[in-house]
Amino acid sequence: MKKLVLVTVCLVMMAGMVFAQGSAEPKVASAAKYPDGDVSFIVPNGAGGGNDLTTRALIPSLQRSFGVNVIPLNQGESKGAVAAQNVMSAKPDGRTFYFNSQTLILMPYGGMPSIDLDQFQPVAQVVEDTGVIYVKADSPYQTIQQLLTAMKSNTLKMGHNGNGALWHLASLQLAKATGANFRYIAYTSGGTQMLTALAAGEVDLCIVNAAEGRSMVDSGLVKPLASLGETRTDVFTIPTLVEVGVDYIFPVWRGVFTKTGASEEILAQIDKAFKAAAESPEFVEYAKNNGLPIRYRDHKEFSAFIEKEKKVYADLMGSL
Amino acid sequence: MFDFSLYTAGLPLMGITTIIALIGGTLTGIVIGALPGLSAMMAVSILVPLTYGMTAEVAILMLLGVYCGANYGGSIAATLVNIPGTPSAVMTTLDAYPMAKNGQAGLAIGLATMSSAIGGFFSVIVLSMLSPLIARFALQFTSLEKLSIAIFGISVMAFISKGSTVKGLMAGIFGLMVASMGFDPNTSILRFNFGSIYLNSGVNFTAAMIGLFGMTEIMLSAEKKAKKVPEKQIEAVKNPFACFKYLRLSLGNIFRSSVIGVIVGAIPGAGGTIASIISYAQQKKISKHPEKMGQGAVEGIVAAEAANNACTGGAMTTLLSLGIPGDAVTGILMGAFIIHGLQPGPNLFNTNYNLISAIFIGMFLINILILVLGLLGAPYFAKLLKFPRQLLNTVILVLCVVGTFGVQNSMFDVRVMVVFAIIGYIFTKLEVPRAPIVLALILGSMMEENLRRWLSLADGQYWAYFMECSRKTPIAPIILAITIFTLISPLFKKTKVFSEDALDEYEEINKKNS
Amino acid sequence: MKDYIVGISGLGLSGYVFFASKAFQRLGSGLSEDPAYYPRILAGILAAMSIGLLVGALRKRNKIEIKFNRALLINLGKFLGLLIVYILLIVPLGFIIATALFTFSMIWLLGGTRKQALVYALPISLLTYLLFSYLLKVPLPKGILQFI
Repeated sequence: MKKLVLVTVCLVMMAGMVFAQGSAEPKVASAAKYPDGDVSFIVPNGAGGGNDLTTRALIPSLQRSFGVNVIPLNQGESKGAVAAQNVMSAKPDGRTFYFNSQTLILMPYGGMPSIDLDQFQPVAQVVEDTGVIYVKADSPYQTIQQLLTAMKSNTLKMGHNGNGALWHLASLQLAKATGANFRYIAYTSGGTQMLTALAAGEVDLCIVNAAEGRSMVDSGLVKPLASLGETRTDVFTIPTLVEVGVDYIFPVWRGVFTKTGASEEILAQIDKAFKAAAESPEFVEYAKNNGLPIRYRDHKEFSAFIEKEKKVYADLMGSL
Repeated sequence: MFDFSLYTAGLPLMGITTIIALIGGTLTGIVIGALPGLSAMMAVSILVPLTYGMTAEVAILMLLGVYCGANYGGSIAATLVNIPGTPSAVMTTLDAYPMAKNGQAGLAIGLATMSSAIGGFFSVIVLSMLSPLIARFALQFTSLEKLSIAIFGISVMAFISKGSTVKGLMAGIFGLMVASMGFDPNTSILRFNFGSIYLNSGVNFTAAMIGLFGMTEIMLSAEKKAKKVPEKQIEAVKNPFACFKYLRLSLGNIFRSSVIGVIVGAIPGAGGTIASIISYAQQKKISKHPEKMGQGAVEGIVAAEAANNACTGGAMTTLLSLGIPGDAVTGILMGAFIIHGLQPGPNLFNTNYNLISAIFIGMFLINILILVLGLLGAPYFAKLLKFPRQLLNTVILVLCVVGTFGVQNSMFDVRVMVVFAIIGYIFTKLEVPRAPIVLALILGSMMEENLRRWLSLADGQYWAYFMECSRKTPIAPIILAITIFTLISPLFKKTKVFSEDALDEYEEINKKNS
Repeated sequence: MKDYIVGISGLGLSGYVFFASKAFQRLGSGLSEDPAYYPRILAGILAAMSIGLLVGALRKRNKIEIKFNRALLINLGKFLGLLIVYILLIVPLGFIIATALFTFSMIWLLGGTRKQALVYALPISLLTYLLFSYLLKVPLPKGILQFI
């Protein structure tokens, strides 16, 4: 017992010293020397997923530009809410990056009102992806025209990846643009599960991006009909919805954010590093292998774009 | 017709890193298995965090090595100290320990190694032939079939776990409740998050697992006084190669036991322990000298070890082809797949063809490694039993903490882990089995998602839609009927399906031996 | 006795789940749109089993009491206390120092000799740190040792 008391007293004293020391010297971020230490890159998903791999493909080039370690931190808990919370409480010194897509803008609507989007400074967009409409390989609707006619007259079952999630919004907007009426079926575990159910004939159609559906299309289980992009996708030879006369595009952007408050000088340096990263051979090869279209926007363009997106989603969520 | 590319596509993945990971994993597995108190379950759960930085194939193959290695390694402690190193080696103690007392410890370990490796080898053949077929079939499964498989898995797991069936089922329900914390899968409304954003998506599976099976084990083992190490028997581990003299005689036995092992392994929830109990009892029934079993008989060791290692292939078959863990350890492995962005299940054969192939090749290699490492290393593994317990326990505690932290760089998860360690400890003290919780945690989201999705597909017409689904394929009603039958069978018969007679017998023989 | 504890806690848990799920918002009238539906099924089954267990225990009337072993409880308390102090100190002190202190006291607590504790504490802590931070790239808290 004595031993334990002794050890505990030691530990408590040590702890006291640490706290005293910690408050004595606050760190000041100077723009003169950026970055003045390792940079952390928060990924709001587990290791191995799409966002994680994309981040890791950017890192080698970032390390070359910054000359410090760039450490990827996977914080997938609570659908990325914890990761977002950690960004909001980070120092505004441009040394904490955060990777996400539309999902970030949707967070305040999806049961996470504590997420304040103004705390996120857009830094760079690197990818602009889109959704693809899939049906079962032996579906009665073999072309997009057949499907469009069918969904106006019948209530088709539409798979999506959870209430208020990315592909749910894509299908809601599709319904709005075409006047169709869907029965929405949720597959919260994500795209693969949704496509498997589609192949088993449980739902009539679903929207996922091209990269996720590729292997299922290759094995002849599902069939892509049309993409929701501005331009055609490289992965499949299918038309865009605009080509067949539906006025609707659904861009899925993925980009990098930091905590609001970094100076313009720092942001200019970050711009340079991310532009180089988006053009680096590692990233280009990764994007090509995974069917992700690269689209770079610097922090000013990306900020303007995000402001527009916020309005789009505010309107959409308001109409629900 | 037959497509061989499934068995060669993984070869390019078997680079030097993968091979090193495979050897390292198997060796670690054997070592952990050999140390009493450290089970295969614990080995895999504390090593999952070590794989974060690795690519998926390296990580999965390393963990498979640990899994198979630990399953085998349990026989070493069983032989030398009469404690099963892992629970599944329980039947091995019966004959291996008396044999070691007669000064033939080397032979006993040799026999265990040989039959483990052959049993494992056999199960990999079954795995690689059957799983693609089952997977192709399972691709047609809709929400109703998945739901009934999940219900079946949890019921069986609770039913066959040690002790009272009611408590087993209660543990399963507890696990399902924990799994239902966080966003509701159908409406994304928050439930039971206790006001913390850290619990918005519920409790982290790996953290709970490490708590329940890593830290709880240490808490329990710290209470017990360590058994005295029998130095004499450790020194007597010599010439394990003598076992090959018995190979021809035992082939029939090995084959029978392996078949039992694979089948039991494939049943969700039933693992190596049950397989070896059944195969031991079976062997005793057909043996020419049943009276010698329990006194150092060769056939006893062979039957127990071939069956418990053949389980690995069976359990992996269910995991890969249906996406359901075949036993608690594969449940943790399933968690590892998910951490690496892979969803085990029939679709894995489409999306990660090369990885599946690499798993087959890897498991072949692992069983060869068990044979080689086991026979050459037996004398050294035996020496491990002399390692001071308190050091080992402390190191494992630190690994539990760091490992949990590493899952998503979160100190919150570490606290969750400690909470689950305490829950696991209390459960054990109250004789509530812990294993059903694992399966419930991993199957819980699958169960609710599919249930709620099926309800929303049915759109109010529940009975009509159930009949419509059943007309398409009668799989779901069949599985549900089997589940109900399993659950009510104890009402008609006093004994459990997997007879406890064998276990009683074990306890009797064990008393005599010690 | 054990069955009573398990049964009563089971009833308590199912009661909690049942009442807590009353507060959940419903999006529509269907069962699939009711977030409380599934937890309540679980609560119902759990309650039924708890009652079954209690009835069984009453009928058996086995009066085996749980033996409260004071020494065991105290040891368990020390074990958990040490663990909790360790977890609280990892962030402020940094992983290396906190772990070294923890291993030192834990080896001691688990019955190792003072010599073992002194010899092994620092190496265990340093090796785990190196393994995780350099090989596995898990950024462990540095605490007061910010310079490394």
